[in-house]
Amino acid sequence: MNKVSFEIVGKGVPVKDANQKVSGTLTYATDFGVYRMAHGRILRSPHPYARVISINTSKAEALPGVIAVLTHFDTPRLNWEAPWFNYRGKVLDGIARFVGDEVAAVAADTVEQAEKALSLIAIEWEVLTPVLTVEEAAAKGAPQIRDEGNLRPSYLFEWGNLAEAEASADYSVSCDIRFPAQQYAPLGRNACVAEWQGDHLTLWTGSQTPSEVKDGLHEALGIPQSRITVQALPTGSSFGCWWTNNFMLLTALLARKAGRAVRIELDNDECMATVKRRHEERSRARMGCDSDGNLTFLDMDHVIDNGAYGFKDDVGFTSPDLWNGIKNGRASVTGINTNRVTAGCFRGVGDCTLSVAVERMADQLAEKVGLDPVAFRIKNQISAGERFRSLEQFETEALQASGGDLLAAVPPDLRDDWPKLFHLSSGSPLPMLRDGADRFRWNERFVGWGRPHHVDGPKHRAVGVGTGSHTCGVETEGNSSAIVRINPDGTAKACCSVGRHGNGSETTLAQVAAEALGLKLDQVEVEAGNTDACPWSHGSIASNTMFRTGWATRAAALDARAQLLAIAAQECFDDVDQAELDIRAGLIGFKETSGDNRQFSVSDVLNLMRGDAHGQTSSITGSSRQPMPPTTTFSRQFAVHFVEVEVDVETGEIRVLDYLALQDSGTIINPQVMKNQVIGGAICGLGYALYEELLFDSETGAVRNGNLLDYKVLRTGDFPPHAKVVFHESHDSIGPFGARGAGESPIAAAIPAACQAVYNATGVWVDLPMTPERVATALAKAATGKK
Amino acid sequence: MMSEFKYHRPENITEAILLKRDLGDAAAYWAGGTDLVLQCKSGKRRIGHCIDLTALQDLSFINAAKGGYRIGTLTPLSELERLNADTPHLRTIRDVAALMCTVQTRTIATLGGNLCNASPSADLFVALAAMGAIAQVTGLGGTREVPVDAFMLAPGKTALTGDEMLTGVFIPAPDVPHASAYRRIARTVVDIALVSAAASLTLDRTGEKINEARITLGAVAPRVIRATGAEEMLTGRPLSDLIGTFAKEVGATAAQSAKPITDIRASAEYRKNMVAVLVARCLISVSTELEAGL
Repeated sequence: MNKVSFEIVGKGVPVKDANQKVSGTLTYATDFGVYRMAHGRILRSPHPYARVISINTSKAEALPGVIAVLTHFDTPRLNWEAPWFNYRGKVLDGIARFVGDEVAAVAADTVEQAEKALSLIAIEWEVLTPVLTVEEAAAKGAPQIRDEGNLRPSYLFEWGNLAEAEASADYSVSCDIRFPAQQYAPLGRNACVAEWQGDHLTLWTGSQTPSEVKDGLHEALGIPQSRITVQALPTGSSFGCWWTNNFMLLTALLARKAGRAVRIELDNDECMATVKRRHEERSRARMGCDSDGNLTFLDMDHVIDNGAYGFKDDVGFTSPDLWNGIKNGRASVTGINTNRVTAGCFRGVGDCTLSVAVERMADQLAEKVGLDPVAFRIKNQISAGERFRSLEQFETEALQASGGDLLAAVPPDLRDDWPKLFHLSSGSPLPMLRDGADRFRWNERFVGWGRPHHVDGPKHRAVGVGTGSHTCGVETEGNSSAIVRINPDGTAKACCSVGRHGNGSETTLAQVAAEALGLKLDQVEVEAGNTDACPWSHGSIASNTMFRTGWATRAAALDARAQLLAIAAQECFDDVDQAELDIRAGLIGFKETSGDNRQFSVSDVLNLMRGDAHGQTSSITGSSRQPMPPTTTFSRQFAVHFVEVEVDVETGEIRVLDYLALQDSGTIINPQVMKNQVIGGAICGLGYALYEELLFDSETGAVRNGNLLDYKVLRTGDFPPHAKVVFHESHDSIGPFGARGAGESPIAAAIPAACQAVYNATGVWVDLPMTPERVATALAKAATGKK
Repeated sequence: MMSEFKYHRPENITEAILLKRDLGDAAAYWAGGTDLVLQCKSGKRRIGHCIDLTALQDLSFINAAKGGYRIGTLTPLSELERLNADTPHLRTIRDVAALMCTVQTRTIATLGGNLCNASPSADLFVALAAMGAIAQVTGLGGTREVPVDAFMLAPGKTALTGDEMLTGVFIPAPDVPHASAYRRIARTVVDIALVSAAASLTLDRTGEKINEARITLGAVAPRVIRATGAEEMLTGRPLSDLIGTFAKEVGATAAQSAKPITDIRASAEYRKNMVAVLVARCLISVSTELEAGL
């Protein structure tokens, strides 16, 4: 693919808010306040499952400084849903479904008064029998903790002929793996400020999904979207934590009752134990291959624990696409509710669990066949142009729904540019596997399955490789839009509702808009959080930001550019065809220099219009007018990670010595931002592989380690400082300037790489997280088994 | 949420001790506050009075003294971490300090605070107890000496009485060959010890025979303890015995002294097994250093 050169895209410019961040002047949600606001605190349930029989708030209300007490008698009987069923429920309904669930809230002049008032609320509870595990919740006769029941209908997909493939497989392996619940462990808390002006609500909070916060307020409060303004503020980190969260809706209702602006800030314990987490999951599966190592089948049953208010019936499962060599398969995913804190999407949802199970089984098959893990992946993973085998059923359904010709309903001028649906349009892990093996000196350091390449007393060193893929945004809940406005002074603002949670989109989307407009980067700014400025877009979720919202941003910028050039052609360039004109670094002139070197700045053109009483406009608004094609049917991002670990076989301690991450996300808009994204994913994945696990009380389901002393996330000091990131930029024909999604495949590749490296160092597969004790125990067990 | 308390800032030791005597258990000394603030915020501890010691800066020092070194109670961990090659005897202290908490926290957390917080997993406590350090306990009538290994009575409880204050520690440095080492199991780079051990050996003048052995264990009992059975195995033995499997045998014996519990950080069984490994590793490290030094 020809590498096109760009002016702004592809440059590792510093993020626009870098100075603010490092100087502590950026206004995060916890730094924000409005005039005369009251302070709210939330009363939380001590019981995992209980019904409020009566609630007496009179003593709390009588406390000096208290303005309002909100209970379920004050809240609408409306269900609201977060994107992809990450939450379904009412703001309050008089039933507590986990320890820490919201029961009531108090607004007072000070936080201390509100806190004190909470202790004065008297509740008579009917304590109910909770279900604390998926097994309990799925059992016959189990208490049903939701109106809809505990079990979601299983999500099932099948391809090929499983029974036949299974019967003829030369090798097969099976697994039953439990995956722990990971906590986002956000750096920085979140807060929400809600203020009503008449019947108009304005809400400020840290969120990566401003449009969906507006959706949630509309659903939960039953008020028109025209009366809601959401201003999403930057969050410290999010990774799926801060989307629309129930405490935000609670703040809005409390403010309405208080008749004053109200601010609720969650403390560390609340952030860690009451908002959201990764599902606890269990994979039971079998996988097989022929004697040459060609995968023949996958059969998987996977269960996810939704906690109290998660309502998902699937988690992303792009692993069968990545391992497209699996010719036949069946996979079911079942979501089950329990009386534990809500679970939902977390960076690399599904990739970090069921895909890890697939990677482990693939490794075990490779060992049986006698192939090295790099070679086995090259043999069985996908290349551009291949048809997605596992999407067979969806392709059939889509064809049937459209009367046999899926594209017939799409206008021809659009369809021409669409890649072949249900086929991978670009990118592949294969070149990265080859390149990475070379760069990482794989052939020197991989000395066979279950064998360390270096042993010094109890210290065993070995390498591992892991692969990951993910979608690049999802179109099923609506197409993402963006607006680009050119101001009279020639600067522009791109309005893209993706929030700001440290992924640099205020810079990378500005790069996209500036490149498309022909402006300089410092002439373009991004508004990522205001729902009055931004049209609806999915937030920064499902690796959507650069691919789908970025696509809309580029389309809006091109639309604005076309409008501007039309005016310029008419007013400044003697009615030439606007196609002859171009904008470079903010100056409009002829594309080809044919002696006519006239140039007008963008502001000159717009000021001309402004000075003309009959001028049609003084500013220009461009928007994305066409639908983006259904990208889940053809686009994927890929990550290939190599790691070297040292395992102390006496203590079980693991050190990460060396790391190489390769990433194919198409064109890299900003390599600096992207490098951070990849390293961050690797650290987050290794944290999950090595230490991260929320522990739940066996009697109450309460989180036992909701603090950073006993919930261990990796620090930069735990990660090799010389880790390398290499980009393979396979051009994408649809994405903005050839870019695709990037946020989630890196974490997915890190986990199996670490698991495999530990296996190679010790000869034992260890379940997650591979804490020192778990490694030591697994080694002791293996040693006993051998005797 | 933090409860309200009265704040005091004494100008000298006597004033501090008088305040503590008069205010009793409702008062807490504030050295660096890194443990105290967390305890107050979590509600585990309520204090009516805070006696801020930070004005007593003459209690922050590291001095050579007759037969050893004195370190003041308010010496921050960052100062211990900066100890250099001039004081090889304090190398273990330097290495231990560098393991603790974070760079930022080390600038305010103090030696005395770590000892008085009396956590069975306190890194410095385990190392100092193995090194035979002596706590300097000052009361209104003068200063008494308490061996560090007897200073902790139970989690959060020390040998200090209501009108006493820890003012520093003395670390002996005999003029015969000696060395010490500390090992712990932790999860990430910022963690407390799941289990820890320290060993110190003092040889005779010839440098061949072990005259005194001290082995201490952390996070395996309600207080930092000594593994006396293991110490006895070593006393009087030639240093060269530590080559081979003997160190492991001593470690196994030390594990018998451990009385750990299972909690969310580790199981009792793992802790006990690791005592054997860590003690053996401490002994190998110490003997290697002694062999090299001869």
